[in-house]
Amino acid sequence: MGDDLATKTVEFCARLRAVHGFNIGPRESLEAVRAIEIAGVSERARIAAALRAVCCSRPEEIELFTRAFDAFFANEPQGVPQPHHARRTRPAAEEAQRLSGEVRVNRQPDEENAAQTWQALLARYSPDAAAAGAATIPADGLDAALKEADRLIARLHLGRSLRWKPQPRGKRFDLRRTLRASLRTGGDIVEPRALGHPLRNPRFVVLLDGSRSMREHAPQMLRFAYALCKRSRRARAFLFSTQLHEVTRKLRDAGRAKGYRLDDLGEAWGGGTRIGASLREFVAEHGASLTDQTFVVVISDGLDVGEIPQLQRAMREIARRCAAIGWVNPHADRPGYSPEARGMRAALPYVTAFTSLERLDALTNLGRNARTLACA
Amino acid sequence: MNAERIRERFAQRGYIADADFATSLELMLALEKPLLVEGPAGVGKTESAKVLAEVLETRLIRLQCYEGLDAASALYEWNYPKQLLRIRLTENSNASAQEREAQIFGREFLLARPLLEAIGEEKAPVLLIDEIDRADEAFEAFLLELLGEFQVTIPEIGTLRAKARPAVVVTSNRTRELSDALRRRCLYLWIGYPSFEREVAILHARLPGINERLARQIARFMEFLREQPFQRVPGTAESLDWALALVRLHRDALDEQTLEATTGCILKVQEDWELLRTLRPQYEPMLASA
Repeated sequence: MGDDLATKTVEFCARLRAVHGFNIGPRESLEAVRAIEIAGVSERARIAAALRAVCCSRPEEIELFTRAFDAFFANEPQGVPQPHHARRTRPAAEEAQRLSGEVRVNRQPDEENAAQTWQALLARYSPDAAAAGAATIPADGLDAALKEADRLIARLHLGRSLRWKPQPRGKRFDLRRTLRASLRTGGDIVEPRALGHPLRNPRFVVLLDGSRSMREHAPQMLRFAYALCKRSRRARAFLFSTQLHEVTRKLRDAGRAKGYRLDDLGEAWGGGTRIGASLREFVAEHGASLTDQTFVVVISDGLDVGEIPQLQRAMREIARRCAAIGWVNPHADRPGYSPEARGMRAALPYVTAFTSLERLDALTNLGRNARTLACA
Repeated sequence: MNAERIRERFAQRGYIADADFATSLELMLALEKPLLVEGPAGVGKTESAKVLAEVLETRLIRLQCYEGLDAASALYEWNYPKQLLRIRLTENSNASAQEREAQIFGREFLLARPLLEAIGEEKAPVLLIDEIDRADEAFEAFLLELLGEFQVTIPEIGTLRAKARPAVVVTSNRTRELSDALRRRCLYLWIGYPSFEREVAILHARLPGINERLARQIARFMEFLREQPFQRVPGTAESLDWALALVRLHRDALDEQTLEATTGCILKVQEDWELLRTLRPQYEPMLASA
């Protein structure tokens, strides 16, 4: 393989990392070069497949990769021979014409790509350009929120795990540890050891309503989701408005160093509300992440403009698959509040705990009753 | 083994692989890195590892993951009854405590579980770590040493290195997010639902007796079903089951009656049956075109 191509490949990897946020380092770059050696340079699709296997590590990255690959290797007459290079039998003049034509044709998408990249960069770095699709976590009150999250994680009980672990008063005799302990006493068993099921480590799924009607409550809502994602590797957060968007990684990456802005939220932020459709999408795309140790928290005012039966179906499905659902409604604390919104009424029968943003500790206090509590 | 050969050999065994799949396998064998395969249920993730073992003419060692899986059932365990017996038998010998301990923590008291077995094989086996997302994070972290270095550490014995690096296939159904550390140690492959042509080819490869018209009807119908918001979207496994059922029932075309009688092969949830009924106006033309 020519040095050119090796350099190009490394450049491409660096670009994936810098521009598209791929999690790849020098080792992956090296492997990418080896992968191209193995795949050969005769077929563009094979190069793409080889680089994809090395550079991608999650399904969302595949589309990004494909676009980046097409843009980067769009016009590479030397490094990556296009299939037509194999049949060079045309007259030179025609060849030159074809090549010049090709350059013209090829440059267009390239320029477009450059423009798009520029737009994306603008959106990423200027504070106003992407205001519609970006949210900001308030920097104040985060410590209290983190403490709150710690409490929630520590105190939410969802029954016991199936794993056997050494426990002082377990149900099963632990032969291995008993035996090891007996070596100290010359093979005589003095201290019997036991195994038991430890308490389950809950998983969290937080579904945040990012619609306009929730705008004034957004700071508290984002603070809660941020704290939970920071404190538990087992938490996932999704924003929805007219579309659903996973924000777990964005929340985890946020912080003092990188700032508290969440960008590129698209139609998951600041639009109308389609709770039913969004929850439906959640079940279809991420339904597998609901297990009997998952605690789902929905933060929404329940104002749904979509179809109510769809919301009902989605809620039933989520309730069936998870341990418990907590619904946080910003208005729940108002004197005389009753769940009049159509969406809220439809969802309530499936909700274990119903509370407001000011009283998030109600979720913590579910304690070991999380599974059995009926909604008030 | 290059990608073309891999595709050919897979096809001989009834597994129709696309070019990306073959390239990933080629890289996995050449770079000696584990391959992480993700995709919806029933698209042949597990099957791919089984066929790979046949193609490489080697042993398949399978570790099915589940919640609560721990090192003792995945890697190794000491044979406690045997150890206990040995302690009793040597009770009156003059050996010191250290000598006795060294003896009972020897290899002969070790029960090898799948992972240790895979490392100990003379000829590189195919190690299938199935549905890793079902095991918990602690187990995933434990796997890192194995997947990165192909070695495991047993405190009483030391570090064991793989005699021949196994070809590792890790599958995940995405019930939870896998850690970045694990992802970085693997090559990545996404297997989606097959295209219409590939599904027809799969049906022919698996059921040589099936007639062309039925195969195309099934593939088209499955294509339609996968666009609908079902709770459990049917995969390739379901289309194969269904095709087999239709062949056994001696149907050579798909009609309303047959569909009703065999819905259980493709849709496994009651709500999905109801949804299918409401979709009837949309799929009827497909049956009529039979």
